[in-house]
Amino acid sequence: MTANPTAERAAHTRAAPKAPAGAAAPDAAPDRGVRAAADHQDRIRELDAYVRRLIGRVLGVAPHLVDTAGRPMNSLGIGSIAGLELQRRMERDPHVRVDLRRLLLAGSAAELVDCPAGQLRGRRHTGVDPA
Amino acid sequence: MTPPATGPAAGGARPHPAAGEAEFTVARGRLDLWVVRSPEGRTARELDRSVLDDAERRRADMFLRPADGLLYTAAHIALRRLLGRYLGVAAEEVRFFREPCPGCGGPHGRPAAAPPDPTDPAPHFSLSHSGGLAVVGVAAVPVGVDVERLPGEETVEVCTPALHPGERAELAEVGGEARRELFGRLWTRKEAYLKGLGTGLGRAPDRDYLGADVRRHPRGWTVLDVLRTPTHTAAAAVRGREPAVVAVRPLAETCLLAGGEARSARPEPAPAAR
Repeated sequence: MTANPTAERAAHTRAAPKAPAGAAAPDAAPDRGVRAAADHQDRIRELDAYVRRLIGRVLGVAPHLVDTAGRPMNSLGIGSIAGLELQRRMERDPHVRVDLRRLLLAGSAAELVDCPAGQLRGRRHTGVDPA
Repeated sequence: MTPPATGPAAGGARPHPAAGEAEFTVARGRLDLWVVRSPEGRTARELDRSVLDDAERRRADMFLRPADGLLYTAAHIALRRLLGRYLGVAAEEVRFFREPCPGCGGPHGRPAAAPPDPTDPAPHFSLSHSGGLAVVGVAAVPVGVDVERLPGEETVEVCTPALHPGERAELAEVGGEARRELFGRLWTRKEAYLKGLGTGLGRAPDRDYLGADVRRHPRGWTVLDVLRTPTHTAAAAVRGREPAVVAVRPLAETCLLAGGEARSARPEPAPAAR
């Protein structure tokens, strides 16, 4: 996971969309073409919903109940196997890489949103895929 | 490997001055494993949180699912009461610190408990909790324990590619419930080993083989399956040779209440053999 614009993320997570359960396939990664075209805020919003769906699926809770800002990952109930599953599902996007230990120690699920967002932003700016 | 459920302490025993009981003696050749079940009813309502420190209490209150917070609270009260008995100090006086990381030397290696006399060796311990069950391991040598609720089939499918090729091959030979159970055993052995090593999951899960062929296991470590139930599996890893005594015991629930003391409940059924 990469360091990222905390303020930007915090502002976003306060306004996080309450995605209805089952609105999209739980492990369907946001389309890369769509992500590249969207502005940064839209992309982070989309990733937030994606991470909520993934964590909700792994924990068996509705996505809107997943608190992405205020709880460490282990307080969400993400243990090692659930963390591995989350990592594997996120890395189905070939341009996203997630460090398992950092995922498990993350201060909040919002850091997982920052992770692919940061990697995608880095790619757009540099032309080099950080994955 | 079939660890004995209990047995006499092996050579090199170092009776603890305060404990005075074999079951609270840290000795070479001995591995103590305490099983803690998530409390219910009165015990759940009256857990003695006073032995926890502020950080532990904050953490206990942060869990999304109340059942996770309850298990965390019970596991940490149990850990403090157990280590207090081994160290001869009150549960609330147990002081934790982090050993140096074996990778970078930073202060984020294995958790450890400071002995009251700094010249005494600290007992090594490891704690794991998952899905209503917690296990505490205590030994004279570095130890790691892991307990996991058995994952669903889809989780096994998603996670299997992250394992060592030899482990993947073994998983490919079984299906259904047996596959879930085998994945649980492989993962708990792996995580127990990585916790004992001090790297945790900073070391890639595909790097070490913890499958059925013990000759291919990491050198210098013994990895044991210590508990198997229809819903959970647990493993322990100790540095060095297989302990002569592996005592797997349920912790008495009264240990979690005010004034409680760490002690065994009834004898645990013999652990399942690999």
